[in-house]
Amino acid sequence: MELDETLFYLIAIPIAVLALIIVFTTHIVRAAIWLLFTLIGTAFLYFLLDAAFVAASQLMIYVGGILVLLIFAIMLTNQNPLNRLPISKLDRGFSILFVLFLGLGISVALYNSPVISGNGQNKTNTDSSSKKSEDQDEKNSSLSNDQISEIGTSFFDLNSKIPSQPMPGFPEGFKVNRKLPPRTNQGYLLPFELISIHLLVILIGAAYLARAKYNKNTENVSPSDTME
Amino acid sequence: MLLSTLNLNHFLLLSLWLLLCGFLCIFRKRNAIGMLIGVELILNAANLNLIACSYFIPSFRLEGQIFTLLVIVLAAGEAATALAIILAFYQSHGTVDVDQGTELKG
Repeated sequence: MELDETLFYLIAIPIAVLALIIVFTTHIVRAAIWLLFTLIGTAFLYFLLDAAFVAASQLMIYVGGILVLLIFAIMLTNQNPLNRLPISKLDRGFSILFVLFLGLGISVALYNSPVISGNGQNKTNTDSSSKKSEDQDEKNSSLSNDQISEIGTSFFDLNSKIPSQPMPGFPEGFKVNRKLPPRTNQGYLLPFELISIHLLVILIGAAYLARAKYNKNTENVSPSDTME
Repeated sequence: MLLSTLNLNHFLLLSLWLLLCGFLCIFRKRNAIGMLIGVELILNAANLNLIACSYFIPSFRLEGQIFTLLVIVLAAGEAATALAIILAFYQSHGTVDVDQGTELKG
């Protein structure tokens, strides 16, 4: 087994098991902690897939931000840890059925798609394609060196270096019909600006929703009394 | 080359597994925060899908990473809003059990 495959299974199997534990644990704090390790594992997979900047963002925003927010919410809602909140048997059966059908449907769709069916063809061609991949090595390594600046400049549609050859490991029988997008001199500035406005709205909305509500009895009390 | 024996299918199958776990988590939890954890799992499945495709399909390389960054930011906003709503719900009802929120029943 190659090193990368070993690494993948070393990360992927704990992620899969922890995701299942999150589903079946009834203790909400434990679910949050297992979610922490699932998110960290996914960030490691991003590192494996050569997306270092996204992995770092995942670690900072998801693990450092969202999870802390979740744990704060659990503490603020002050639940009894022994309060299990079981669901009814009908709901339980429905959930299992739904997930089974969804999983079967997506699996069948995946199996019939060229991405999976081109798989067997790919395995026979790995030897011949490995020589080709060595030629691409230099090209791709020079690309991944300044990946962060590449992401940044792509917001302004300034970069033009995009490799044309698929990576090895991509199924041979599967043709990507997608052409490179026409140059519009636009980049991703519009979604970037939209997200900034969106975040401002969220900030105001969340602060308004979660503000401390006073009872009518305490409204008439002067502030100096409530300080005590 | 970084990945020699792995291919896209490994990542797609792991992503499918995470998606199914997220759906099951949403269905099985009556705790509103537990449902939010399921939503985070589903968003992670989508992100993993995007990153894997961005690695293996070269013309999708930058778009995949940028979409993932946007999804991460939007997920942070979504979590903040949902937790604010859960806090408001807790202040008025004294519980986070979603079965108790029946005022808007049609």
